[in-house]
Amino acid sequence: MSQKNTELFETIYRATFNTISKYVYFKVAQLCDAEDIVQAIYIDFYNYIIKKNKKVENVQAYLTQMANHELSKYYKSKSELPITFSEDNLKILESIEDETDLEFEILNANDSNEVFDLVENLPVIDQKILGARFRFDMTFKDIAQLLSLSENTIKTRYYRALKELKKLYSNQKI
Amino acid sequence: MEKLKQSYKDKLLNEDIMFTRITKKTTQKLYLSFVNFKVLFALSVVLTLIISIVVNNSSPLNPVKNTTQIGITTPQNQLAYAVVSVDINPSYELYIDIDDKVIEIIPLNDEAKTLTYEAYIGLPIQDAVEELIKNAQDAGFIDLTKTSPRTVIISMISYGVDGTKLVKDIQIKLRSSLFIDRSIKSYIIKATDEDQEKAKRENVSLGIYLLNDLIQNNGSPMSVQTFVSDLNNLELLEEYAETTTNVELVSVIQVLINELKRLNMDSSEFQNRLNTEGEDLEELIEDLKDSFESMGYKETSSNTSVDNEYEGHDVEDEEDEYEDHDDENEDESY
Repeated sequence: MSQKNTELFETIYRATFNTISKYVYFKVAQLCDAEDIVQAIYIDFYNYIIKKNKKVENVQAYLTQMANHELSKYYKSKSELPITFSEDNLKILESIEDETDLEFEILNANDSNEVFDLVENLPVIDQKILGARFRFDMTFKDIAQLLSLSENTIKTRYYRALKELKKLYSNQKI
Repeated sequence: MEKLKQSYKDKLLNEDIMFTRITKKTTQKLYLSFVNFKVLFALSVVLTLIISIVVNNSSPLNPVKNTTQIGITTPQNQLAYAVVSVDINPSYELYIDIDDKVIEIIPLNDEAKTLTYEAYIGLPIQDAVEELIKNAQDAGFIDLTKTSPRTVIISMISYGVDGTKLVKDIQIKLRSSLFIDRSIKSYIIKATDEDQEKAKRENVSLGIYLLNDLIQNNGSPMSVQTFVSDLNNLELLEEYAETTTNVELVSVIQVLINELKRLNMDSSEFQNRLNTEGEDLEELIEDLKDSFESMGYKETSSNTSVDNEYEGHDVEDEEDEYEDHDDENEDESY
């Protein structure tokens, strides 16, 4: 990369990364796939736009368009459909007591990296919700909107996921 | 910050880690490209010297390799970097300069001589190819009343430069053309110097040689239309020819959408469809062309240049990342 290209690319990257990665994150089930796709988008963007000094009017929209096509190729290659969740399949059978304590306990567990690694044992929907909360600092309302579910469902799933994490973490410690 | 949140930020789509990985990949690619170029250059020089010593034939239809530069000397002693052979039934050989502009056109048969071709010297290769096909179509060399496949073979050899960009440019131009009949299908085949030599020896065009070689036909050479009338051959050709990736299809769509915009027509529906994930791009191209047809649209010149953002996605020189990515979606492809 030339110095000038590097600086331009970094500026664009820093300004758009969070939005693009959040967009991709919610469209695929596997975290590693999301990372591959986001990386491919920016490499392509660098090679086809920055390196060739092409001008793009709306970089954010352009990158989103690139993301759509990467995702479309991804679904095709994996013979998968975009992930969707419906209320019918997410029946909440229990209510969680002591929500605040539970959240505090999990968030401040000494081996937070171990807790993070345990997240992949949770259902995809719960992984998405935890990622949205902890990585992208999203509110329950925003997550609900993005996943087309009710805020209540998101909230309940969130606490249930924390409870499950706590259980997995405790079992691991035994 | 709570510890788990920190772990998430460190491990899940981490901005800094990914930035390092991306810059590393792009730098690595450049380094590899440079090494490849050096190896390619050295090999080309050696090969050029060997050929110039062994072969000493400079008849107009048997160009000689230039001994001092990467490239080929055309029949009229110009330096070309690629040769594109177009086989409709009229067959032409087009020589291209480093900017992908046509510097010389050789008609390879009598049919080719009956049509205009000199006027296309100086055009970008993709425009010249489009004009040649349009001419042959308008002159009735492509029978649009028949039900058999109407096929054009475009074969290409590049000398010392990667011809990938040429292939992409031609693919995009022909797929987005609004005045080449939609039933005419073009196939692009990359060939080698050796193929060219053999084609000359057999006194056939490069495209015809490649098709006959594909089915190992040792009898009299088949024409393009005879070749494709056998569906097995057609299937073989589909496999052998350069594929059109989604990137090219998107470029085609963007060209057509921009043309709609240029005509002040509403293109929002098509743009939305293009932005929709999972959209069938081939179907979208057909629908766009339907919309042009329904308004009786015909371009007056193939040289209309329609700017679009995706035009930047043509692939340059030693890079073919998009294709690699299509194939594998793997880091290593970069």
